[in-house]
Amino acid sequence: MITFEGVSRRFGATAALAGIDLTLADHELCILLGPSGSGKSTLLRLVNRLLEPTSGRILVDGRDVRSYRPEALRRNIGYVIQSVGLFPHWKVRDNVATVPRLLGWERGRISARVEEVMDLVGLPARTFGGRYPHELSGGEAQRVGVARALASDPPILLMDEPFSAVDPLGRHRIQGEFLEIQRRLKKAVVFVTHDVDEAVRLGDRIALLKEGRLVQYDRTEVLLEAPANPFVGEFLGQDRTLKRLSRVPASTLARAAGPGAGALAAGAAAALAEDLDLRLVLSHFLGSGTDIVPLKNRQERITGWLHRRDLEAWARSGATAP
Amino acid sequence: MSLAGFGGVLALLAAFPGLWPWPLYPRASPLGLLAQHLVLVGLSSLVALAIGLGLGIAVTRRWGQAFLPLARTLTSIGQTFPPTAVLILMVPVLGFGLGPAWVALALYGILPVFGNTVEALLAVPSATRDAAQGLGFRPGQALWQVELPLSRPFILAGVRTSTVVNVGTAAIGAAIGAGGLGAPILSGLVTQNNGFLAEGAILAGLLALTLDAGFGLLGASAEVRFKRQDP
Repeated sequence: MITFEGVSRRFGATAALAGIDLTLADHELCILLGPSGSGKSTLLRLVNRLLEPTSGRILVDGRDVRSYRPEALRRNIGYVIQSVGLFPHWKVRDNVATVPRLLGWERGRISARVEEVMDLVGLPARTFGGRYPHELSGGEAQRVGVARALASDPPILLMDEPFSAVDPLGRHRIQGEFLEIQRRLKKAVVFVTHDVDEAVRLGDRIALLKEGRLVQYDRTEVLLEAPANPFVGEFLGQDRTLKRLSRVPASTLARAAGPGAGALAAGAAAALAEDLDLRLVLSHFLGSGTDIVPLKNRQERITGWLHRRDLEAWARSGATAP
Repeated sequence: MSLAGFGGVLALLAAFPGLWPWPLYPRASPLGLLAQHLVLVGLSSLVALAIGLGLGIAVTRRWGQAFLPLARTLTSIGQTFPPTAVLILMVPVLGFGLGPAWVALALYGILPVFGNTVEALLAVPSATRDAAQGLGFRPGQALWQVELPLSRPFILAGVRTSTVVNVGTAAIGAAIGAGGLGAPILSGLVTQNNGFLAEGAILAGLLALTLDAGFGLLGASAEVRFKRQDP
């Protein structure tokens, strides 16, 4: 658990952060969202003491971060940055092994862990371990950055706009992959971004910052349904309802009962994957003019039916996803 | 190439002294002069490396950054002094002999090492430094494991310049009594003996070329191992 207590930070005459009180839960991905200059990166860098607060304190699991030696603290907190910052003179394998090596793990344990964590990010050590950073694509380099941060299996992960330098297509893919990893590992992730779509897609919770102040901190669904003030609403965008839909898989609203058996055969062709999000299902409804669509699982079996009126009712009601 | 040429000339001279068309410089053997020269250059370059590298590291640390502008200014002023002037200026301060020559050579050699060290360390991408700090390197670990290895080719280039220039400057050192290959050159000039002159000049030239090639190989091997990432 990470707690900010009355945290302020000044750079000369300008206040980058003013009186931030915030508690981030374990096992959750919390987004620090805001326009540039809102202080979100500053807030992140306070956690591993790359910056010190001007006033207030930061607690990790109830203990003031200032009671740790900075290096010891940082070695137990994963760190991923936008420009990756891989060490260009070290092979990928050595880059990933950085923190375990600093922690003084023995050789065998390090190489086993490197293999494991590189498999996790989809870059098998056999193929990629011996390459130098300049031989990687942007997306691959960013995956190595994530693997490096995860290598010592830290409970907390700090990510400062980690995917914003990757091209849009690659970014969408790496976001999806990271979400999969996070579902398995359940780290406490602090994730800085200015990209609302990324925030909505990844965040369990979102802390929205503006000019160094915390404007709203809530579960992502709540933020989308009930923006605390016009700034929040405007920042999240007019398409908040669509964004809410984009977080929910179609299977959530599936009904067992469909139309008659006759329609089943006809419908099977147009079946949608059950893990498709509701926003894309709505798009399908709008495009096809139909009111009901069968859902199929990975094995191409029909698992249920989604009614357009259910989707619309859900969108209006503001019911949060289970 | 030059290494082979150098070795060849030395071997020929050693085996068939008669091949040399002129009388050799009588006060010391070519090998002895060469050794004297090498020691003079080697020791002074080593001192220059230690001081230049140390200063370069110091002014790029957070605690030394205040001195960076001053150090850079002094370096550029220093580069404008011709090496001969540095040597001659040493005489009123330290007198004649080997000692003043060493000091002068070391002082003059500091400049390229220092300049390249500073520029190379400043050129380490800030993302790389940020990553090193954020992952938990202590400042010294970041310096030895990340910053210096990344700066190695550029620092080596500085050492190369410094050493090769020193070979030439050391020859002038004979003028203030430092000995080495400058001795036959000077003697040749004074007595209009082209044989002495050629003996010193050829050996000094070959030495400079050999050292330069050696550093080239060292630098190249550092270059091949990695490429700097585009920022």
